[in-house]
Amino acid sequence: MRFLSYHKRLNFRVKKWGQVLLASCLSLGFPLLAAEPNLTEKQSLVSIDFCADQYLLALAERSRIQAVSFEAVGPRSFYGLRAEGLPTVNGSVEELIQMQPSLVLRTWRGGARAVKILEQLSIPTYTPTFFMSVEQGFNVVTETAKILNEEAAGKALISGYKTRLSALNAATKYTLKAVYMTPSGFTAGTGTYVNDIIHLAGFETMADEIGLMGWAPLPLEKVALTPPDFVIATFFGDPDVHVSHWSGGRHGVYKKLMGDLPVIDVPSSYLSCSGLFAVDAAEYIRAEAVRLGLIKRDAGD
Amino acid sequence: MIKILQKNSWVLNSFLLVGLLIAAVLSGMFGHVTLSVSEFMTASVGANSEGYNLIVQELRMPRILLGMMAGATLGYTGAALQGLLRNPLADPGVVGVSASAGLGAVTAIYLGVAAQSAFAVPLFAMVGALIATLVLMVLAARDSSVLTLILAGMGISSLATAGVSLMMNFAPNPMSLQDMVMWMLGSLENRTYEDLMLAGPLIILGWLMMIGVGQGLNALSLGSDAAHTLGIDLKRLRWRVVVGTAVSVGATVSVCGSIGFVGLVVPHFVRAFIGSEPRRLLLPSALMGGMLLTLADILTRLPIGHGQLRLGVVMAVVGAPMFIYIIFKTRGSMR
Amino acid sequence: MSGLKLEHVTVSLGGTDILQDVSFEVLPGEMVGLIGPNGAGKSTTLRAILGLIDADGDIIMNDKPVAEMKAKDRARRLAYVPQGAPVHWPLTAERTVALGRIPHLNPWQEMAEADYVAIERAMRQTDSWNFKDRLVTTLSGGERARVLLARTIAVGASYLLADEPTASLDPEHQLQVMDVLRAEAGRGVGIVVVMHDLSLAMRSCDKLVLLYGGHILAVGTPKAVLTDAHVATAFNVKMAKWSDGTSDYMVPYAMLGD
Repeated sequence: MRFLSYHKRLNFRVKKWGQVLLASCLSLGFPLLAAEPNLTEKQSLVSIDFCADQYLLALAERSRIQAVSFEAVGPRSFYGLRAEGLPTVNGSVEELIQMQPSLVLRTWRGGARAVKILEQLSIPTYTPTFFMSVEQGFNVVTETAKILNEEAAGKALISGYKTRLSALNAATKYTLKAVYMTPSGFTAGTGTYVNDIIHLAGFETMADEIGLMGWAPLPLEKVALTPPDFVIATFFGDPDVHVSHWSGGRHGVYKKLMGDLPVIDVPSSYLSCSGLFAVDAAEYIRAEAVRLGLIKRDAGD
Repeated sequence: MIKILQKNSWVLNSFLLVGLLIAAVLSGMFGHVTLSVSEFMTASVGANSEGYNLIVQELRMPRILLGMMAGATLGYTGAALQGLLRNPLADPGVVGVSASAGLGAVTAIYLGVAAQSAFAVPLFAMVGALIATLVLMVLAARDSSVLTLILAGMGISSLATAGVSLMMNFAPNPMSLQDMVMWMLGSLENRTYEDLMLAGPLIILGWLMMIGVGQGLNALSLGSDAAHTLGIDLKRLRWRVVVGTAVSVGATVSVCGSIGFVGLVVPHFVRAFIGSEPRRLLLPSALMGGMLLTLADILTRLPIGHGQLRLGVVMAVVGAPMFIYIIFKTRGSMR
Repeated sequence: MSGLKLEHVTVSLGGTDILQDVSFEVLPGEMVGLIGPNGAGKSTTLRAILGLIDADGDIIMNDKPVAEMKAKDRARRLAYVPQGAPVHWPLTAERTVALGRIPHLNPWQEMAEADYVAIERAMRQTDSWNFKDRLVTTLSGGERARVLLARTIAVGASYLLADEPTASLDPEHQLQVMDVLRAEAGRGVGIVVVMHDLSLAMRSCDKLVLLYGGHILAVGTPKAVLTDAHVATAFNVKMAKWSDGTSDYMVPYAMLGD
């Protein structure tokens, strides 16, 4: 047992540093490899998957957006409202050939294959770099804004976020323990962006206390021994139709242990894209904690 | 009409060849834009608008060719294995190479190299397939019985599947897990001439190894002793079928992901027309396999699911009911 | 006159000798019955001749060692009806018999006139031509046995080896099979049949080879081989013998030691 958890920790650390290394290499090499776009003149931008949509909708002037992916609309998308009315695409290479955009923004769709083909067909693509902290995320947004030729918008967005980030960092920290849970009993351990978001909101986490790394199943025994103070869960639906995914018959076992712990349901859009909306999510959690009476409103809240 | 097809296998073969060509043309017509037959034809030789030419030549043509080759490989090897094992339930997966290719591919995704290079996954998958093939080659050369080979294949399969499960279990993040699952469901999307060049030679090599096994498979209908006395070199036959399958199917799976049912269902369909003689099933199974896979690939481009429908899924959803139907229809006439 | 000769053939499996120093000859047109109790090595002898198992000693056909022949050459000269012959796929009777022409065809070749003639002849000989289009799986035991015999005859080999071709057949079909084999012998084919039914062996065979415990106990005409002494040693039974003028018959009626 112990060997496994050591191994897993080691494995996780290796992977984490591997990813940092990879990320730094990629951030140097990758965007450059995908053809240099000249966007001062051309005006058409397309994003072909969910997270790319968020970047595009956050930064680009509406008239420059040729299309977003079909995933951009709806309550699960942070900028879902902004996406309404815009043309949507499935994200296939054929569509892009037809559209001949000035730049294609993507994070995962199509894989390395699609990038290669698009390059060969002289359609520039850009994949925002993978990031692992809020500050890094700000840098990636700034970088992306530059590529999109929307530096001003990027600056405005980031300075706004930076202010809010300082406010969060300055706010009262509590020793209340939160536990993030998915319906299948998984939690976000140390090193995950969800865990970081909960810290940012000013709380401790069960996962840190137990020493869980990465995305891991929640050991019920530990929960029984050292129960958390409240639960954080994601919900995926319409804000008007609220279904708590983790409560219910098949989670009876959790229910028994958790009893009547307060639950903060965070909209999935806030927790999407590896923590792109970390500041928004942390603020939301804090506000909900106040609303539920877990904490008192701070002077700066 | 069925009677005509039953009389002579080359009537059936001609019919299937025409069907295959029609499927190829249809595959060229459908996609994000629907082209007419003439538009497709002109675009394929570069005589249409630039956009259409690009779409047809760079995207659809390699996809069509790869689909036909993959389907033909799966159909042919399915028929050959069923003949060798004298078991109508055998399929190319039995040899263990599909699972090991899957292990290779999943490893590439797990290690994160998949995101960097378009060829990381196929290459890793081929290494996986190669390892399995080498094991099978050694066993086949040692004059092992068919049973030993199949048990080896099953062992390799189990081991590979266990490895895949392990990596899915420890997937670094939900995204890579999704990538693994999606790869396993099979796809021809965005396959280029480079994929064709990567897998093509090996696929053809596998085919060449299996040329002429029909007679031996026929002789095996009478049992291995009788086959031996009819002058068939059983060891060589096993080698050619098993290793030929491993090479061609390994290359196919490396580039397209796991696609099931073709190897299993197609020979049964062909049997319904021209009977169970193993040799006569080989070419029609190849043609029908190519046709079926191409048609399934067209279905993946249906508007439902925003183009997210995977090829392996369509094959399974269409193939499984077909298979059950065939079982019911031919119940009893199989021994 | 050269035939199929076995000289000092020995087969051992896992350290034990299953066949020891077996020697006999089959001439063209001769029908030789291979008899003996269970486990005497009768099937093993056939398998050794066909190259299905390794054997020491010499097996020579028309002055050429069988082991040195190419597979298809051997296949054209030596045909085999295995015991309990399976047919794994539901083929038509005709296509099953057609498999017998494989030794004459390279993997690419389609059958020609000569092949079709051989198939038809073999099927008419075994009285199976009238159900040539029926699936083998739908045939009765007797019909199947005839089809498989036809398959072997269709090879057109110089020697035909049959392993208990009359097993599980009714009397009529047993006699029919032996008559077909006799007719083939009449055409110059050398035949070796493994049998259990001694009366049938006596009636149809020119020569008998009695095996016991892997050795040859006796070789010769049926009368010479099936003496009381030999029968007692080999089969451990008492036989009742009688003759109706044309043929001799033997039937076991008691175990020795009763």
